[in-house]
Amino acid sequence: MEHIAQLIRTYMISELPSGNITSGKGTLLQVVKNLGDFLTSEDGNIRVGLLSSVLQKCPDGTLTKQSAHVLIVFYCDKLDDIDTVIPALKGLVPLTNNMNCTDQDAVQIMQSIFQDINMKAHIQSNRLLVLMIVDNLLSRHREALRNMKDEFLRGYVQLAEGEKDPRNLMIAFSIARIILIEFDISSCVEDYFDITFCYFPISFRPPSDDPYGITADDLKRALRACLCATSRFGPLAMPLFLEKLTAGSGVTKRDTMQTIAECLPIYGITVARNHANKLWNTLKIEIFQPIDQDTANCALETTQVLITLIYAMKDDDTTGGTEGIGKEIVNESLEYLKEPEKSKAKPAVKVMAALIRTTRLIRHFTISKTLSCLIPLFRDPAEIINRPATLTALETIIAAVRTVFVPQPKEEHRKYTDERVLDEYKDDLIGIFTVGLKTATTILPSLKGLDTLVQIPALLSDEELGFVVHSVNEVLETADISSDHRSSALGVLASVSQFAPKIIEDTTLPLLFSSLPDTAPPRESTLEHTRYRQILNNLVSLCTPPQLFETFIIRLSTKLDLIFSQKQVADIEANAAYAHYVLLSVSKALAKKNQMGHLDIPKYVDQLIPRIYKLFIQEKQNGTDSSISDYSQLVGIAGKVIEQVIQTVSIERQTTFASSLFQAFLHGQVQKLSEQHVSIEVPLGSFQPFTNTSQFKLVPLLTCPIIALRKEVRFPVDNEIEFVSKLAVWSLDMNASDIESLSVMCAIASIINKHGLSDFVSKHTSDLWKQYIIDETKNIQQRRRVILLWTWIAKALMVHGGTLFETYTNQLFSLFTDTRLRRDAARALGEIGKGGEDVLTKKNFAVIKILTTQKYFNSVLPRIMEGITTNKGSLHVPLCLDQNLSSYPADMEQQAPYLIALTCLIKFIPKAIYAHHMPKLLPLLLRGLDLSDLDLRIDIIETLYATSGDMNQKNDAILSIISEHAPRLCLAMLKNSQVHDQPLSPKLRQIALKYLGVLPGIVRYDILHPYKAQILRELAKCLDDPKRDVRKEAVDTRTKAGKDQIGRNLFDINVILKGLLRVNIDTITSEFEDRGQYLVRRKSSVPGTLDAVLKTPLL
Amino acid sequence: MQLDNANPIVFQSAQESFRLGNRDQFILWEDEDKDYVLRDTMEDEPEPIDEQEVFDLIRSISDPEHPLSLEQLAVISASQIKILQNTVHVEFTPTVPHCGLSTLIGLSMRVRLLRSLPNRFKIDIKVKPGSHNSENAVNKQLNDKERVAAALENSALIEVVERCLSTANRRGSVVIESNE
Repeated sequence: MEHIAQLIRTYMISELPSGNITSGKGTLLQVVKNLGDFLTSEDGNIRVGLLSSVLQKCPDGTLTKQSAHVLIVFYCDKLDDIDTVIPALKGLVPLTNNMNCTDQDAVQIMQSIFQDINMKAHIQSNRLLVLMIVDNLLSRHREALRNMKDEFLRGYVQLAEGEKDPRNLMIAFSIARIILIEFDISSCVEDYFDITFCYFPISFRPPSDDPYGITADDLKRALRACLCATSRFGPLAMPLFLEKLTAGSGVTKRDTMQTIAECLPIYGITVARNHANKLWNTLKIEIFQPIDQDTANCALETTQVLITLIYAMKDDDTTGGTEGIGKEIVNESLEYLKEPEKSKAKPAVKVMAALIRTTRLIRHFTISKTLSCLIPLFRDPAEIINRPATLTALETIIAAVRTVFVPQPKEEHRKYTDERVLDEYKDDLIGIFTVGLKTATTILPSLKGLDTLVQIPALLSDEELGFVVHSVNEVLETADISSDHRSSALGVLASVSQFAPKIIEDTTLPLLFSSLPDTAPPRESTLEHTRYRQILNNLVSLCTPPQLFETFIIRLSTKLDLIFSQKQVADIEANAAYAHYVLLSVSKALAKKNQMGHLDIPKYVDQLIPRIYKLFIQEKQNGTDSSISDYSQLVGIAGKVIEQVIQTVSIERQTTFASSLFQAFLHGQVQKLSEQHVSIEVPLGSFQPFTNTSQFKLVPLLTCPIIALRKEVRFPVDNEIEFVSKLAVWSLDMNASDIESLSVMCAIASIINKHGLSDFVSKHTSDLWKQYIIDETKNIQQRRRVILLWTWIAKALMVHGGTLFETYTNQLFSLFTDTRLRRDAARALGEIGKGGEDVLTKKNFAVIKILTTQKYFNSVLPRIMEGITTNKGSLHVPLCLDQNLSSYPADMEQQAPYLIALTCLIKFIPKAIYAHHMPKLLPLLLRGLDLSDLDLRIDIIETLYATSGDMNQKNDAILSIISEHAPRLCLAMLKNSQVHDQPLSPKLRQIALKYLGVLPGIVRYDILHPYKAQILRELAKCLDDPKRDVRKEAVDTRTKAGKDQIGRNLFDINVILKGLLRVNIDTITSEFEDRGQYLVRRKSSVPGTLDAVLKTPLL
Repeated sequence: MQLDNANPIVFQSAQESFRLGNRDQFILWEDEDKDYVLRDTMEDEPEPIDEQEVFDLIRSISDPEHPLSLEQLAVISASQIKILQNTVHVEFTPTVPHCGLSTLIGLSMRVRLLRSLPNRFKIDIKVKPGSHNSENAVNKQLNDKERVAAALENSALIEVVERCLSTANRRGSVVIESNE
């Protein structure tokens, strides 16, 4: 008791929250008793306040029915007193949510509120309390409130009237929706109409720092839920909607149309019918003279809802059912369709498409009307010139039919076979579209039409599909290489191949395969080369279904046999390039299948792979001086194909494969690689790839499959470490080409990643380091290769997790003092961040931990930052454009490798990892722009573009640091965009201009304004760049940079003057004089504008 | 508002770019580093500003009356542009002979070209002979520096021009409309 009395006194003095009381140390009764004198205090807040705050924290169930009732009566009494009303309301909120509050209590509370509360006299937070009480009671005592009938309904209208705060409105709207749906409002429809529709349309715009996070869309959605809550609103609402539709802005119009679309089905068919004509007349304007595409689409959707509703009941009625608005719309649009080449035809077709998506009756009617208008138009000789437009219109109509019948995973879809709506016209349509294939101008729309037609399930029979495929094949035969026609034709065939692969296999594939040459065309006839590549690409796009893929592999391996068997060809390299492209196509097709999750890939381990080995190994036996398999690109892609297949097979198959592979390559037992139908025969002991330099070129055929082996597959070698050390030595052998060497390194990385080999990692590599790197007399190329090996080992350790890679990165950092190798070492450090690329991947069963790139970045970044700051010169980017680029301060050379490492690093790692370091990094990157290395500068600007270009996820830290450096950035970009100041690199100029174009969008206007004139002047020079792509970028950037705060271009006067007076102005002074004269002449007429011109800073 | 031409004919646009540039240079070995190789070989070849490039600059300017480009309405075409040394001649065809907006279209093109071409070029914009009722008046107005300058000081007018130019950077590429 004492305790509570004490607490109460404390509360009264300090108004501290009364948390202790609620923790069960006293009863409510005690509190009331102890309040004693305070209960008669003059100050209302004291009298009632404590109790309310105690109640708010009372757990549900502490109050009995009795005490709840007593409290409610107590509070209700207090509502009429201006001093106590606020705490009383606060007390009622938890009470109304209490399960011991009875129906009678609820009624009493409502009555007291209606009687005593004048909402307009209260501030927002108090009004919110009232609304919360109503909301609580509505959810717990709906029945009791319903029995209050008009008393409640009218009372609530009084409460809700005139509410303006969005926070309160959100709750008021949800209350209104419940009342509208659950209560009988027939006596006061208009009142409720008034308190909801007065908010429509919502034009609320939240303040930029709105802590409540209520958006206009939230309000719109909540309000819409009210407006469509009862059909009683219909007759009242429609005139209002129509009025808003004619008067409002684009946003209002869209909002209104969406609301109508949502409300109409509730308001019902009678309302829809009564207002159909007026509504259509308004929607028509939005469709045929649209302000923008969005609004037009909204109007179309609303039309669709209207028609679906009106004709919903008529589907079974066959006589004259179409009479009415639907028919009118069709006829009206039909008028426009008679001239399909004119601009109104396009919206008319869209109206028809919308109608097709409505009810069955209207769909049939629309299709019959539209097609019997368009089909004769196509055939009319006088209209031949308009055929493209006619075909496009037809295509849109069929596409609408397709959307109706195409199977959708979630919704229940209509079956085409139930309606067969196009059957009557399909002969005509196929005829028209195939005729269209014969003329150049109509090919594209015809192909598109056919593509849509074949995609409607169950429309065309197999013969008809065959006919379509046949016609499209003809296009394929005649179409130019890389023309649009060809790719569209393939689109049709690919659609067909999804459900009728047989037709494609029988007709299209033979056609394509027979167009492939048996031997490579001479290298000068580039057209021929492009042609076979095109055909192979086409095959790849068609042949992913298992059935077609089998044919694809059989035909292509035969083709490879042919290419390899030709000994006496004029140009071996051209032949090798041809074979390379064939294998590349196989690889592309495999990748596509893998992505689609096809399961037929493993079987090619027995069919395709032995053939590849046979081709290459037997080719090598022939001992001629130059052979096709000497081209390492060709061997590389063959290895890639093998890798892709081995990835997909089981552990057992991998183990047996690995055993034969090692037997063949390490012990010369090539026949082990043979399979049932393919036997590889070479003289015993003649295949020794690791001793024979010519045969060494085939090593990628060993290393690529190693990459794809699972972790569990043990290598059939005596000592794995010895094997890897041998590989390492081979990879550094300067007789090996870069491709071979790299493929060996990838295998080493893969083995280290999967098998650990800590001995090799800790001991053997340090010997190599001593041998090649410490000894500066060694060949520089050789030493570079060691750095590459280090990169790969570090990658293997990095993605594996842990910190073992640090030894390797430390060694790379130590090279920063070596003047000849430091750039390579710096790049390597960046390269490591790229991770395992396509070698160390999940598909290749590499051990990959998460967040390793992040760990790597965090371990390397401090060192790089430190390197830059300790070698610090003046961090200064020249603000003057003509400063010579090539003269760096001497300390720049010390810093350079760190800057290179930084740039390479952030080029390769995901943006999310370095984004929050940007404030620190940006000044360093700016400094990197001073280096002479062009590629580096391109990388830097690309990084900047990537971080600030995508402003969808606004990052204030990045924005503010960019704003801070904006002038410097602008000038650096300008400097890099000029053609005369530097070694040539259009790519650099282009990306610099592109980034410059981003800046005005993300930096506050006033920051850049002082530089604007200079920027525009420098950009004018770029307009005359010798390269077209650069000029294009300059034009776009100049348009963006020229805009002022509200988006107007300010540089017109200046430019117009130059252009019109045709004065070749070279110097600033002459331009100034010129402008001056002009200004003097114009001064008397338009002084206002002149002032503005004079204020623009002069150049 | 009564439009001058409420339902004009829409023409099919030419392909996005029919220029087969250096990008399609042939390389025997198809390689990922294609761009890199090309960059070095392409470097020193200048690509002078040609008719197609000028056409690309103005083809996507919007018509003041319809949400269609000048190209779609066949107001301009690539063949109607000629470049002679440092002069660009542009000829355009109003959709109807009484088109009151011809001067506005001409002005939009002039502004676009003034902003986008190096200032060594003189720009000459004319209506196609015989395609407009008051051909001379329009031509005179469009090529009179004083009148153009005056027009550009009229903020209402420049606003309309800006609206027409807002689509100019599409250069013939079609904006994908959502059909659904």
